[in-house]
Amino acid sequence: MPSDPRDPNDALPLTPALFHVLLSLSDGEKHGYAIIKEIEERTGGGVRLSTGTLYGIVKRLLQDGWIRDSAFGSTERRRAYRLTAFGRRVAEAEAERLRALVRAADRKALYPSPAKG
Amino acid sequence: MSGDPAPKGDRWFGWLLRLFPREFRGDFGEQMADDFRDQREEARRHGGRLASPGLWMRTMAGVLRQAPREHGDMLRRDIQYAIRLLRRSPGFTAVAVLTLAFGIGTNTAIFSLADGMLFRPLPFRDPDRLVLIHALDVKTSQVYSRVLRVDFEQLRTHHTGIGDIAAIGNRTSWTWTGSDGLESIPVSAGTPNVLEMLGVGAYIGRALRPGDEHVQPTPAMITYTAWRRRFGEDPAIVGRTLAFDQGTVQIVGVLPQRFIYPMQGSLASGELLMVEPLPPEDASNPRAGLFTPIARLKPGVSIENAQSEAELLIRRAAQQFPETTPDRAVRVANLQFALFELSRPILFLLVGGAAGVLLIACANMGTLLIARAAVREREIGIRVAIGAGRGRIVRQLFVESLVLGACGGVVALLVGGLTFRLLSAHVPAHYRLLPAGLEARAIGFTAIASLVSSVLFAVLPAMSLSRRDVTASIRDRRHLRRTGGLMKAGAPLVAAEVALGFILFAGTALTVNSLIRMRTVDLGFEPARVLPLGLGSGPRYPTATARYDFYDALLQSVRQLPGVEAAGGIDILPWSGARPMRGLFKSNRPDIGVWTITPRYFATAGIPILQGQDFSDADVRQNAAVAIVSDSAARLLWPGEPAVGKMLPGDTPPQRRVVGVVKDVRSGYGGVVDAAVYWPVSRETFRAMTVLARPSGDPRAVAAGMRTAAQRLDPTLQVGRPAPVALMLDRTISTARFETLLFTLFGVLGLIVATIGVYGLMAFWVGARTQEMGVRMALGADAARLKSLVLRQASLPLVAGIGSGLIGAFILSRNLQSVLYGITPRDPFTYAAVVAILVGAGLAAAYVPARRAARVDPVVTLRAE
Repeated sequence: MPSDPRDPNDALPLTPALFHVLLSLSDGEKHGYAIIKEIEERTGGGVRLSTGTLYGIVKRLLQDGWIRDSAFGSTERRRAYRLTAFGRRVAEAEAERLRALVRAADRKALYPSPAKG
Repeated sequence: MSGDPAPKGDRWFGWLLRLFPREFRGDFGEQMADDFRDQREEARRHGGRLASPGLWMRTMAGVLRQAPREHGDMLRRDIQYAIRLLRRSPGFTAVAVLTLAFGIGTNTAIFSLADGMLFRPLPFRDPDRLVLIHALDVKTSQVYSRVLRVDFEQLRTHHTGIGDIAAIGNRTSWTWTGSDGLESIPVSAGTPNVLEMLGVGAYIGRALRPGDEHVQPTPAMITYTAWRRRFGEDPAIVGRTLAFDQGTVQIVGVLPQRFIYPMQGSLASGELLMVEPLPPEDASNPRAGLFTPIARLKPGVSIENAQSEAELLIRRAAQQFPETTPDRAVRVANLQFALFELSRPILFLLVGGAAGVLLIACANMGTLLIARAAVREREIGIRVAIGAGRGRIVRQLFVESLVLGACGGVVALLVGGLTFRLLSAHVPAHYRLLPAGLEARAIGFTAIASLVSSVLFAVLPAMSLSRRDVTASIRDRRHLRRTGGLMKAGAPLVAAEVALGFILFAGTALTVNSLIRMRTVDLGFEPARVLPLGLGSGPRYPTATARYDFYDALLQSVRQLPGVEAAGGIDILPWSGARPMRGLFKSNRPDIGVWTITPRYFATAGIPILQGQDFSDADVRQNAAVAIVSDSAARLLWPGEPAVGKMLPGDTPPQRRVVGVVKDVRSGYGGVVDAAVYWPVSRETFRAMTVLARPSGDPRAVAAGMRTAAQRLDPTLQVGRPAPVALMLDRTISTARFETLLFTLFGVLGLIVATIGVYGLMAFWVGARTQEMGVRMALGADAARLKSLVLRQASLPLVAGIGSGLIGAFILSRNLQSVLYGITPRDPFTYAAVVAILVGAGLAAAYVPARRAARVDPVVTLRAE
């Protein structure tokens, strides 16, 4: 596959929900329900996508070519999605952007005050 | 597991999913339903019954948030697609946008013109509670502006429904001596409470209030327009004192921009407003009157109740003052209605005419879109084949229409703004409350008009499309392009366009015809060559002879001016709108007015002497008992007999002998002919007259000479600037000219758009039948036959349209009666001309495609087959 000419950095920053979906697909293809569940478990119930929100995101990701239907994982009714190469690059770029932010916060010693603990 | 809740839950979720666009549902609906079922099952497994409602809430919120976004997304893509398509056919797009822009723009301009009078609330506080009170003649049901003072007092003191009552008088002229002689400014006076009652404040400074009538110098407000025109919006105007011959005023404030004098017409519209109490001594004077009182009804009082109580009170006033007529009442009417009562019919006619233009434009757009949809059948068929639902296609058509409508609306603002500016420059004085330009209301109106018309013209193509089997178009393109569906759907639309165009153009033809007749009517005198010399308030001489000597001297010096061919005088100018109080008979018979003139008046005004001769100077010197009669007076008094030499009948003693008969004089364009009797002036009974001159060369030099002659005779005199009567008369038909301009605008636009419609339909029809034409030609049909085939096709909608237009115009033109002069609304000649013009325009529009059909090369088209 020829490399995508688009620059993934142009798409940044991503909304948290969208990044969660990419994150969830980063370790393998999943169908919708699995994505919702994986995100919920990973965040300890902190992020619960509704089906409406999820498929709004899925539609946009499909349109932009960041994910695609999986040829093998899909059944008649239920399709599985996987990251495209470009989608992965976008996810990586976003992760790098967040890392840089966190590093900057670290340098400023920006931690929650322990007094409350 | 699947026993009880799952199917019900699925059904509910199915309903929820309906909030998404169909396409989205098609792509993801099943997955979402499955996912949601899994989520529910899991929730039940882990959290029992309590987890489920939380999941439902979250899911519902998610759908409610996401569904509108998806719809918006669809719409955006539809709009992008529509713009791409429209840019691909710039010719179609340009015609469509321009058609709409003119259709809607006309309406924008007319809306701006009529809005303040018809729809927008008056610029007063709670205007719905304000009423205008007219006098009513019970016998004739005629309303009059002048209300008896005793009735006014009765209403003011005893009417329980009236909170406050005020009045504004007719404007008067206040004068001062400027650098260039006498200047004047129109001034209005209202009762002290008038602004308080209306709820009008000041733009800057303060509003007039009760008590101002006792203040010296007299407090006055200036209208916004006068402030701008005369003082360049200088805020230092507040506090300035202005000295006039009639008194000194101090400007205390500027009236609001949208102020309007609450009187019918423009009679009250002074540039200065001051307050003045009604003369207290007239309060019980049964002969005193005042003009159109305005009242504010107390909250909750209906106009009907106010009316019946007023009737009771007026009856009581009539008993109290037996000198007054008992056959009177008052009419209490909503202020906005009453102010524009007289303009209403014509305003609605204009609104209707503009709406007609828009309807034609919409019909034309419908035809264009049908033709386009037919051309695009293949493209649409393919989209259907790859899975676009019919609803999707119809929606796409609607979006295209909306995009066209929006573009049309934007250009319409431009067209409307320019049209409105053009109209404002010619607008007659009784069109009031006009905005300075397009205001927010007009822009909102334009937006709504664009939206409504886009939907209107999108409906037909959408219907014609969904009725047809779109998928068939891929199978056989030619078959569908040859469909008769276009003619079936398009021809009635074009017929409707032609019918509406006919009606509008008939309106144009009638009003133009009427204006021409009005303008070219034989006035009986030569207005372009008559210069009247106006003398302000007139010289104040105590005796008739002194007055006569002054005027005689003035007349003599005017006669000696270089470039004066003739000069004469008359007591009441026939074109002034006034008639002499004196009649030949005191009662009974149809009266004939008596004018008093100097010798050579007829020569000056250019009125031909038909028989006999003019008065001589000796007639005046000797007080000769002679008279001259007008042609119609002669026919009235002595039908079929020569009038010269007859003794004039009449109630006033000296029996006068008729020495001449002159041509009838009309009181102006569109005016009437008054039978007239002329007496020579008499030094002994002389009151006043207007001196007229007939210049042989440049009227301006003569006019200046006339002014100096008068000022030299009496330097204290206020002298006007003589201008040819024709100029003044032209102003009297400004309303007719304005309305004719509008109807011409409607008619010409309607005609153009309808012609485009005929052309578009036939061009498409010919285009779709190129093959058939080729076959016909190959089979031996000649060019002339093909042309006539096309023209025959075109004549169907044309004839149907003209026929129904004729009927429509016959019915509707009755409404034009009031604006027409010298022509009936069903003038056969005018109608014949309109029919001819529409047939001509229609056939010309059809001829262009017909010629193309006749040029078809059979070999080329058959090879394409």
